[in-house]
Amino acid sequence: MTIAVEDIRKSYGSTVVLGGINAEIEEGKITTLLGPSGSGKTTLLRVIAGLETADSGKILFDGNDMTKVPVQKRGIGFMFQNYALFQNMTVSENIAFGLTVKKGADRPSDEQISKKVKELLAMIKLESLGGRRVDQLSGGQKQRVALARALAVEPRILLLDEPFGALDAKVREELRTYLLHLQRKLGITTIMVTHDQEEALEISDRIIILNHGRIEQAGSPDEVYDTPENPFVFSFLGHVNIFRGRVDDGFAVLDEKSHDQIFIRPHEIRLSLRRHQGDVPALIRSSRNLGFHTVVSLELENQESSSYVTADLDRTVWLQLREGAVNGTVYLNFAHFKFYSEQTKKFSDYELKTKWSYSI
Amino acid sequence: MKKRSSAVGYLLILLAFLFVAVFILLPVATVVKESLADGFGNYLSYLKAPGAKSALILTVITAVIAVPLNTIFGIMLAWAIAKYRFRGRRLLSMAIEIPYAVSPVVAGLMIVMVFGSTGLLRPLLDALGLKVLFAAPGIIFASAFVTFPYVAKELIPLMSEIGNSEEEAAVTLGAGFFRTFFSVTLPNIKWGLFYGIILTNARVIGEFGAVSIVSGKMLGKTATLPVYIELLYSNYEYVAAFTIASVLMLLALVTLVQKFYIELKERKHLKSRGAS
Repeated sequence: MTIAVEDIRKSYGSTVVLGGINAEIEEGKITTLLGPSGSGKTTLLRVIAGLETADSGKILFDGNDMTKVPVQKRGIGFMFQNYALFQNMTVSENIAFGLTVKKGADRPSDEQISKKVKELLAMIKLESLGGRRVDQLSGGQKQRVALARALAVEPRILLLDEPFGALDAKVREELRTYLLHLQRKLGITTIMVTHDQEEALEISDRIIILNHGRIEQAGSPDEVYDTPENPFVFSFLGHVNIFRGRVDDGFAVLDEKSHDQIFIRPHEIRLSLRRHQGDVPALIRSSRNLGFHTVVSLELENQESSSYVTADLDRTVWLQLREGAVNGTVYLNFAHFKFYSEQTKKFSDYELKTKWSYSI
Repeated sequence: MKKRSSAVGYLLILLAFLFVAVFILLPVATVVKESLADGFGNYLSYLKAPGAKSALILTVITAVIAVPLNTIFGIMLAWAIAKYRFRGRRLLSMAIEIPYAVSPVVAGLMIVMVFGSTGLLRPLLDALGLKVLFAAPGIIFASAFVTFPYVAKELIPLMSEIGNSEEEAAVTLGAGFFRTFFSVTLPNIKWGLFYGIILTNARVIGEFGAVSIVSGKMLGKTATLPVYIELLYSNYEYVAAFTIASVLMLLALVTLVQKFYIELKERKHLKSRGAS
C-alpha cells in the first residue's frame, strides 16, 4: 500500500498545525515522521489514520481518495502512545477485539478468532499471559499487546505514534529491534512518529522531518544525516557545534563578525597533543564518560569571547589525551565540517586535507 | 499520614460528633419514634391509605421516567464536554449547573411560566392536547429539571481523566459508535454512572419544591410522596405524615448504602487503572 499526502492543511484557530504537507509513503517500508513537539507530526499521523480531519487536502491509499472514508473503513492498524489497551478486558480479549467487532460474513468464527489470538500471542511471546488483566502487564508487555491488537485485523498500513516513548532504555532497544524484524517479515507499510532522532535514523527506510507544520526535508537516513538541506535539519539530527566563521584555504576560521556559520558534529572534531596547520588550541574543561566513548567539553583559546566546543571521542583516545595534555591544553581541528552560507542558504562540505594522527 | 490529635483536634472532633447527633441523628430518631406513636398496626394502615398508595405510584412513575431521561442526557452532555473541544463548551458546562443554583421553588415557577395559561409553549400544548401543569408530565418535567446535573457532573471529571484513547483504539479496530460505547466507554465509567443515577433517583423521589408548585398538590391525583407528607402535615395528621416520612428515610438509607458500596468499587476501579 502506498500512501499519498496531498497539500494537507490544518489549523486550530489561528495556530497552523499543518501548513500544506505533501508526501509519498512507499509500499512495505518504514517511514518516520520526525520532529520536535508541536511540529505537527502526530496530527499528520492522525489525519492519515482518519482520527482527525484536515481543513483541506487529500489522503490517497494506492491512488484511491480516502479523505472522507471513516477511520473504521481505512484498514489501518494504529498503535497509540500510551497503548490505549482496553482496561476492562484481558490480554486475549484486547487482541481479539478487532475481529469480534467485524460484522456478517467478515466476522471469523469463535474458533478462528481464538486460533488467531493464539498465533498473535505466540508472535509477541506472551503465550501464557492471554488471561491476564492488562493492568498486570509491564510497559514492554503492554506495548507488544497493543502491537498484536493492531495487527490482528491484518491492516494494510501500520501507524505507530511514539511507539517507544514510555519505555525504559533497555526495553526500548529490544522492542525497536523486534519491531524492525517483524516489519521486515510482514512487509507491512509502516509510518512511525517519533521525536527521537536516533530511533528514526536506526529503523527508518525514509525520514520525513517536520517543523512548525512543514516538511523540512525528506529522504533516507543517510541522505538527511549526511546532506541536510538547512540548519534545522542539521541541528535536529544529533548534537552539533555551531560557530560564526569563514573558510580560509580549506580550514575553518572562527570569526564572530561573520554572518556565515560553521557546523561540526562532536565526533568529527580531532584533538591532538601537537599543533598542526590550522589547529586551534583549547583547554579541557570537563568530560562525561558514556561507556565506550567520552564527551569532552573544551574552551577555545585566543577567542574574543569564550566559546565552548563539545567533542565526542573514542575512550582509548581520550585516555591518551588526558594523560599527555600539558596544563590541559590540546589542539583541535575539524576533520569534516559544513559551511553554511547565509547568502545562498546552502551548505558546502569540507574535509581536512592534512593526514591526522592523534597523540604522537 | 494523619496527625495524632492534639487538644484542638479532640475539641473539633467532639464538636463534629455533637453536631451530627443534634442536627441529624436526633431528628431521624424523632421521625421513627413519631411514626410509631399510634402503634405498629396503625403504622401499616397509614401506609395502606389510598392517598399513600397513589402518591407512591406517582413517585415511582416520575422516577422511572425522569431518571433514565437524565441518565441519557447526562451521558451525552458529559461526553460532549469531556471529550470534545468546541465553541460554547464553557457556557454549556456552566448552564448545566443552573438547576443546582436555582431554588427548586423558582424552578417550579419557571415551569409554570413556560407551560402555564399565559406561557410561551401554551399554544403548542393546546394544539397537541397535552396537559402539563397540575398533571404527571409537569411533575416529571420539574423533577427532571431539578436533577438534571447529577449524572453529567459525576461523569465529566471521570471522562476527562480517562480521556479518548481507548475509544480511538476501538474505532481504528473497526468498532462502530454503539459497539465502542457499550464495550469500551460504559465499562470504564460504570461506577461513576451508577453513582450519578442513584443520586438522581434519590433527589427525584425526594423533590418537593418544584413539584409542589407545578402539581397543584391534589391529594390522590398529583401528590408525590413528599407532597403527600406535606398535605398530611398541614391537615394535622402528624403520625401519618411521619409514617410516610419514615418510608422516604428508608429510601435515603438504601441510597447511602449503595453510595458507599459504589465508592468502594470505584476506588478499586480507579486504582487498577492508575496502576497501569
